[in-house]
Amino acid sequence: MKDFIRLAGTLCAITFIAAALLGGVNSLTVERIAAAKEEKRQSAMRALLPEAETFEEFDGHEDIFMGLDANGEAVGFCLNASSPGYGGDIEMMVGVDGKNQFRLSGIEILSNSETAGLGANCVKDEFKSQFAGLQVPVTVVKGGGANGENEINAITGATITSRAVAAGVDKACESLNQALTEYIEAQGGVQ
Amino acid sequence: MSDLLKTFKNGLFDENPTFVQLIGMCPTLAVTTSLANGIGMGLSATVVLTLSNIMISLLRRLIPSKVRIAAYVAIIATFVTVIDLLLQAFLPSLSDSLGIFIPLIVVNCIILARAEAFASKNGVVKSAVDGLGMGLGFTMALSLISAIREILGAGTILGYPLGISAPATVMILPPGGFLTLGLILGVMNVIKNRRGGKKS
Repeated sequence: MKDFIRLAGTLCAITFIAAALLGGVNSLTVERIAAAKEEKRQSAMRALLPEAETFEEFDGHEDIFMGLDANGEAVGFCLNASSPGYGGDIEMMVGVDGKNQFRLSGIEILSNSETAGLGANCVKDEFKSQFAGLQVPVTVVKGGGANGENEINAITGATITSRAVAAGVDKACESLNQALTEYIEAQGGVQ
Repeated sequence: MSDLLKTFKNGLFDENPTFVQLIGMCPTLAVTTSLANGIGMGLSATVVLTLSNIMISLLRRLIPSKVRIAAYVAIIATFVTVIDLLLQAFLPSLSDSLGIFIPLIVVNCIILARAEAFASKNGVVKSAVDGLGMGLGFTMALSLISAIREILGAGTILGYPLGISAPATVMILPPGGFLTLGLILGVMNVIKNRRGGKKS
């Protein structure tokens, strides 16, 4: 009986200290972690819409940000999207250029856990830059030779990753389309 | 002093965790797809291993032996989570490149194996040296495997192209991990057998 109390007591003490420590560290770091994540999103948005000075949530949609230039005029949208890839969700930011017929201005990959050397190459400019100027839906072409409209080349050996990114882009644009339609309807239609 | 040196070398060669003890195989096969990953995982594990060995060694008289494994797991998991949170908060760029390895370290059995086999029976300094040696041995092994896989599988080294026109993608995929590890172990066994043969 005494042994039992000693064993349980020690374990209890260790887990108690561990929990207190984790709680303490978490409360110390939670704000900085959120700030670091936000900073990463901000810099991705600035890269996608260089003309924009500030970004604000569009009409209460937390994944859609409207970019405003120095005069407060809308220049485009940045869309936060995530899509299931080969090794987990791929988080990305999609830029939509309002001054170029709502074509894509580009994409930035915020986080991914794809295979290094294959799918992880989705963060490289070689792949990302293909999206600039396209309109959705984006078609992924395997084995190179994409030349049709709105086509991109898949990353070699990582078709699943490439398709996941393209699907994320399509989905994000779809939700932007819906948000804009709702917004225009709420304003009483196009004048 | 020579005792400490022996402990250190033990982890690097005689009892190399990957090539001799064959422990920690899961992260070994999973992350060795590129040299940068191998080095990153190896060094993060080294830091955690050294610190957790120190901690376990300090607490070795306080933990009753019947519940020691549960206690070690709690201590190591707490420790790794604290490091993960601190990295994310204060060194976000380092956390971006090492982020995927840190949670993997919790389930790396090398940490628990050294806590059980060494740190719980030895003093603080010796345990720290053991952690450092084992960690660097692990890093060395991962670097070798990942360099081979990256060169053959992606035709690059540390991301720089080597001008190989048709790399064998399979080397980066899981089968390539098993192939590389198996062949290295085979070569090591051949060398060991030859040496042993000469001595006798």
